[in-house]
Amino acid sequence: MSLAKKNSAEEGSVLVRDILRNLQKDFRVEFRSRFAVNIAVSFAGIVTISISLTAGGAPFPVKVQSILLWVVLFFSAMNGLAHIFVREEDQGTSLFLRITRSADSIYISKFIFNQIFMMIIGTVVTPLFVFFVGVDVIHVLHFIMSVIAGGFSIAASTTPLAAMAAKAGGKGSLFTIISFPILLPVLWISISSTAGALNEARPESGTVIFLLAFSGFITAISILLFRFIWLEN
Amino acid sequence: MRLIRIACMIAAFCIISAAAVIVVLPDGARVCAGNVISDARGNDPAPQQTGKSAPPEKEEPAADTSKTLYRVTGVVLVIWTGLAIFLFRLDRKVSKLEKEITNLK
Amino acid sequence: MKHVINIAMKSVYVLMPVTIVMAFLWAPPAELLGDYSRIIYFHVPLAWVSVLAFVVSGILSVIFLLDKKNRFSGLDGKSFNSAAIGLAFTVCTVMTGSIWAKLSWGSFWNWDPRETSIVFILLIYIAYFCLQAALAGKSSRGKIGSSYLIVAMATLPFFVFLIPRIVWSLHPETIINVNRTIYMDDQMWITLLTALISFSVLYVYLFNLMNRIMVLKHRIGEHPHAAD
Repeated sequence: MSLAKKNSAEEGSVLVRDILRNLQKDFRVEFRSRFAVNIAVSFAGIVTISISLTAGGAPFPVKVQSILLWVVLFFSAMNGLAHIFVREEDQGTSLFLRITRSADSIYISKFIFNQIFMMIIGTVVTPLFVFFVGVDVIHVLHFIMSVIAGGFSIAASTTPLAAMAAKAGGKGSLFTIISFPILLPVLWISISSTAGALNEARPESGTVIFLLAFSGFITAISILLFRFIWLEN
Repeated sequence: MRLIRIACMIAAFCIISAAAVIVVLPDGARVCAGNVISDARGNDPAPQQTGKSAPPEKEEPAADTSKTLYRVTGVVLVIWTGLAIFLFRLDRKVSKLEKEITNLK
Repeated sequence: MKHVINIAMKSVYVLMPVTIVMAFLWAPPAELLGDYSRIIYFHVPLAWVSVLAFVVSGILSVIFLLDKKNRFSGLDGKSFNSAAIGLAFTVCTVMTGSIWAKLSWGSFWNWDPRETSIVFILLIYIAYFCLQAALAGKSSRGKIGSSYLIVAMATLPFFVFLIPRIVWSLHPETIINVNRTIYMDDQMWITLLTALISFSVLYVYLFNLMNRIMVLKHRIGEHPHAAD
């Protein structure tokens, strides 16, 4: 009994150590080149500024504002989120990772990395968008909550799909194609949630709860499935 | 590792059951909402008229509709016969090939 | 036993014409929609079969992933076949459904909850076939495809049941549910039941045929001169 307990505790500490090491490595590699973040942020900046420029200062309707915000977030995130797994396959490091680390620790570290990545994009893009497009946020707390929850569930549901797409040879458009149907409802709910925050009426918190529940659910499923995607035989 | 997997299973199960509860519970509310919505649609004339007024007009000449029905049945039956012949031939070919392959071994 | 199953599957050749005749000639027209309502005997079974096929493919892929000792062979191919049949039937469901929508609501497509969820399902399975095509020839094909199918299956309840509740609670004017208010008498129920059974048998027959063809392909691949 005590032995089993000790074993599981040891296993847990090994898992945490592995996750931290993986994260450290991922961040170091990312900061060396800053490839994914640079591309995502500059893409978002270009799109936002071009929207603002072509609109010429004329205000959009509320619905259109939230659609545009999520389109910008979605497409700027799309490149970077797949990058984390594609890079491992491209540089041939996935084999070493497969040997030295357990699949769970790899999944959890990639998941955390993607979440942080998505949060960085969200914190850069959203203020930029609000500033340039002239969004009039009425319920600030709900707006922030829905952006965070939407980003959270986008990152959560794309992480397993990124692993699949990387296994398929990292063809860029494949990732967008396979993740779009899973993400479509997330985007839809996020758009209506953000539009609710821009309206006069009191927004409903059900959408944010849905997004969080969805991301929790898909994370649980994908931790269970990741072994089968990651390990060969 | 195993603990994490079990925790994931439990979490997934909890979320699914919570979702099921949300879907099942306010069933009365759903019916009420349906009534309200149908009332609301009554005020909106454009899609409603095309929906309700068209069928009765067509039903008046009874002999004509039954003739059309027979014709439609015939067409659908012919289409099905074509599909069935295709399927049947495919089935026979597959059976033949299976026999040949087992004989080869 | 095998013989009985074979005959039961072949009964589709009798069942389908019976269903067609019953649906068009025997069942009475519905009160509200008249003779147009007869499309229900094809639309509902098609939808049922596509759901059945997707559930079967999901269950088969779960078994495929858990089956480490390889007790069952070719489960990934079988789940692929089932998903293919499901996709074909879903396309048919969409077509019959939009014809019905045109006749009763006046437009082919109006984004009511059912239509939205079926679009999601279509997109998911089209993406699944894209993934399978991209993985062609790789050893990990079956595992990754099965994982995607399971993720897709697991998220379906959210799309189909939860989203209409959340989104349409904000915009209730788009719910149009004429088909719930149709009154159906015994003859119509019997016809619908027959149609459901015969379409299910058709699905089982097609599924069996596709699996046999898959096995044949494998065997011919193993013995290159077997086909001569």
